[in-house]
Amino acid sequence: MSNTNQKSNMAAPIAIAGLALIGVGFFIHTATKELTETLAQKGIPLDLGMSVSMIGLFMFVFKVVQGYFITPLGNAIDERNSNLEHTFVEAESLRSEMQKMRSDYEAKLAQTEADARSQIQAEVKKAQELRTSIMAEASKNADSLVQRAQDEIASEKAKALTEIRTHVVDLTMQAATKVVGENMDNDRNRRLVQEFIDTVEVRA
Amino acid sequence: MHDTRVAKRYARALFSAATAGDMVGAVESDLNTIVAALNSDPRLATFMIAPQSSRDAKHALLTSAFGDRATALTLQILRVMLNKGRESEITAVRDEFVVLRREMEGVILAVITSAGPLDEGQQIAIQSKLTQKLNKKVETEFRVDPFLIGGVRVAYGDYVLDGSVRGTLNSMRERLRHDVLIQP
Repeated sequence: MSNTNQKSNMAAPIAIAGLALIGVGFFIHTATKELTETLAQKGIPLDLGMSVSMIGLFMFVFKVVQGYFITPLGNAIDERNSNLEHTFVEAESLRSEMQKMRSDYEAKLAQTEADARSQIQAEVKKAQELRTSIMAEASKNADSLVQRAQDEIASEKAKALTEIRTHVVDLTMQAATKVVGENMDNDRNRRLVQEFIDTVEVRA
Repeated sequence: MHDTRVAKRYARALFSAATAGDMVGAVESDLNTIVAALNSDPRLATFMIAPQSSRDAKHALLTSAFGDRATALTLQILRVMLNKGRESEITAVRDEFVVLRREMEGVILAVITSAGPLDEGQQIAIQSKLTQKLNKKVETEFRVDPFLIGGVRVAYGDYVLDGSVRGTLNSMRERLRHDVLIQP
């Protein structure tokens, strides 16, 4: 960029110098017209003033062409190069970013797979434990049901036996009551009362 | 429907007044007479308790029936009860009055139940034995319950002395039941 500025700074003096050389050449051409004709007659076509003017014209035209065509073209080429470099840098940056993202993605994928495997293993283990627990509980419940059924059977058996025995006792006592009642008369009753009076223990 | 608390309040008031006037025995006798009359004559009891019977008519009947036989204190408490609509509590008041009198005198009530009526000698023998053993005055109430089959049962305070055949059979039944229940 500084190089371009230097070139721009140098363009104006060179163009001015070209214009000056054109003027100086024209002056030399006018001043050395006789010399030029003489040399032309001797077969030497040398016109020093015209040569100097041509050099000045060349310098001027060169600078004009350079100022209006070559420099913008160079700037455009430089800008294009800069853009390309920038684009390349961006592309490289994007590429490295993509590479990094890919690495991250692969790492995450690997981590996810590891987590998934771990979770699956944990769930499998949990399911196995649950299965074991359910089977143990079912076995326990079955044992409990069997035990309860056995207890109920034993209880019902004991209850039936007790009812039968109680019924036998009641029947026996009913029979005894009937027999005693039929055999009870005033004398026996009197004796019972007297016996009670004689033997009763009265508590205060 | 008796209200025991109301009957107790009336009985305490009557007993207090009777004690102050040294008329406990007379008042109890009045109450027994009146309750016996109510129990023996259902029409009288119905008339006294019925809410449709006028209060004046009840007062007139009370005066005509017991005015010359009951003490003034008894008649006064009965009139108060009639005025308050507590005629149905007369029997309960008598019972509570007797309880208070027994408490004051330190008398024990013994209920003697037998399968058949006891003769006088047996009654006296039982009462004498209770009096002797308890070392207190004992009032006896004799009841007959053929369900006992034979023998006699005496109940006093928190005690029951069961010498009845029914009691013996029941005791035997319980022992047998206990024995068969503890069998394997």
